[in-house]
Amino acid sequence: MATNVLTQNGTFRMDASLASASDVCPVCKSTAQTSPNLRFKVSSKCYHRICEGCVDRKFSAGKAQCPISGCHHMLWKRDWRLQTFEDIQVEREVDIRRRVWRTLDLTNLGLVEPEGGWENVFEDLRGYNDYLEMMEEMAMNLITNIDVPATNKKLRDYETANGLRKDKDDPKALLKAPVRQPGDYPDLSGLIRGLKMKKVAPKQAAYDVWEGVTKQREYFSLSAKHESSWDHYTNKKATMAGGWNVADYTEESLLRAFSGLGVFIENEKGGKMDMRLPLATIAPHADDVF
Amino acid sequence: MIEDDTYRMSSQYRLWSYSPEQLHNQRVNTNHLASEKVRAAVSRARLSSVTGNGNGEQQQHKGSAVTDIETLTVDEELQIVRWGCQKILDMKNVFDHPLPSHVISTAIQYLRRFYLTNSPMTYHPKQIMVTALYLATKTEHHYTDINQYCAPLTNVTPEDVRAPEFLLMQGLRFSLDVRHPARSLEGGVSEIKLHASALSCFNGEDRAAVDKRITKAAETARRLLTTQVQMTDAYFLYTPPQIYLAALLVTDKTLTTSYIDHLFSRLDTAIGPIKQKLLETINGCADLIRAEQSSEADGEGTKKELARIGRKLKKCQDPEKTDIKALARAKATEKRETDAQDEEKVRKKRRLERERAERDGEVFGPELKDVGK
Repeated sequence: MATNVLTQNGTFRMDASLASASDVCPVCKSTAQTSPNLRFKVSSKCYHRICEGCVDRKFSAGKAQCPISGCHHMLWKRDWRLQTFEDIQVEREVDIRRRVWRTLDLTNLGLVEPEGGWENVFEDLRGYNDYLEMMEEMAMNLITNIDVPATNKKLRDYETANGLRKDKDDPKALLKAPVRQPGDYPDLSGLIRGLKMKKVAPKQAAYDVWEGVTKQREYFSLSAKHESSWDHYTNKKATMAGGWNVADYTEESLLRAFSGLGVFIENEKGGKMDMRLPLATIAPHADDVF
Repeated sequence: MIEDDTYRMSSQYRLWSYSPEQLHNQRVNTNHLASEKVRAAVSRARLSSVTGNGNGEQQQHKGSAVTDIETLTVDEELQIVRWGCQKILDMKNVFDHPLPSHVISTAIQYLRRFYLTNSPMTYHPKQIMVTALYLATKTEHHYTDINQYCAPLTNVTPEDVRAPEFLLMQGLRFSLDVRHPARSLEGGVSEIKLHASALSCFNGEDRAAVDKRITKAAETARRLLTTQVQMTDAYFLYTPPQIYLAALLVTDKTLTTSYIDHLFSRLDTAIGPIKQKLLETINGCADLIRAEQSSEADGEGTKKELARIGRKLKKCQDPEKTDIKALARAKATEKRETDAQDEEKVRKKRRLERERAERDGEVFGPELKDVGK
């Protein structure tokens, strides 16, 4: 269906069926005089205009063909709505622009509007201008019916690649959406060019509860053969219920047996008097709590 | 070594480990400061009594005499502290349930640490030691009710125990952890038993005999660690593993040396030079223990010496610090009074504000600023 045709001298010639904005319903021929409550509705697919009564009559049973002769759109009752703008062309243009802009909205890519506006999402101003021009070109192509299948395919591919497509027939469509990796270019389809790469925060090391203190031992290695004075408690329920672990005790006593074996206080503390000054020299009256 | 670094993090290493010279200097320093304080306190006491009599001539005479007060020497102070430690050891079996040895050891170490920065001339050990033992029952998870604690002790009331507690805590710098070599001994014996078959001192002996010998040595060493070692400066000068090895060395020399040989043959060659150093250190600690053993044999001489020091101490005791209970009470009263004074001030301020507001007719306070502009 060609609604508008570009004439040779560059102006648009309107389709005759759309051009008639008269107050006569093209289906039942009723006018404001014959039925005082006459209201018109337009279809959001082919933008034909019929009266509310005809919509009720034709589409109450379900899906049906547009009653305008020569139009083969299959429509539901919900596709008919009240007209917002007097000019049906404006109505259509607004719809198309809204669709294109919503599809190409940068928030869909998980971007957030920066301080100085959306142009800061791009590497340079040129990238932003190219993006705006591309949107305008797509919208105009769809409005003026130039390269409609190609433009629609571009939009569809973009939606699919970025996981924006909600296919009613395929409930898993959203699940199939690609998973964005931290280092990926924001637009996975590559349609929008010149976007800045997202800053990837350096991966933080896992939090170490022990702050570098290891369980590793150098002087000894704990084995099951180590005896301890508590060994006869090993399998007693009363001990285990309290959370006591004889192996822990053995390890602790072994650690105590070696912790400080190679520490020679005379060597380590000898020369460094300032490391721990005697209390009496720092504060002669510090001992006087009374 | 990782284990050594663990020890270096402990408060015993950071705050309570000294080289012999440092330890001596510390004691000399404490003794010097305490002596000066005692002289000053005695002169003040005489001055006040004399001015009470109104005799100016005598005052001048006594004031100059103060300088010839004979104060304790460092060694005499040590003897007195040692007496206090012995008393704590004797207190072990006074209670219905004998206190565990680690509680006693902790209390003795508290007393020894306290008298590094305080002198017996300022606070007598007989006042501090009951508190030290009571504090040790708390820090070593051996809770004892204070009334039950005081019951078997003659002339000790709960107040006597509580009064010097903060003083003691301050003297300990609020570091309550004591690393006992007796605990190291337990792990050490377990390690020796595990490697017994590889030790050079047992060639071909059967398992039972070996175990018996090790157990016997460990028991004797344990007794040494909980009694005689407590009377020495070992905790200040050496680390727990070194002390327990020294105690083992005193009881069973061949066993200990062969164990150390085996230990270092297992470890990396990189730490080889440590072995010689370690042996020297352990021998030094063992000498300390042996010296203590021999001095203990001379019981009669020590007793006479103590009696002499006791008489001397009576003369040079700081007169202002003898009654710790009264000092604590005075401190508490003073605090209560300052608190009360502060409260009184606040109350007065509020009353004045209220009166002024009523005079100005602003019962609900002054007008709010910056509202509605």
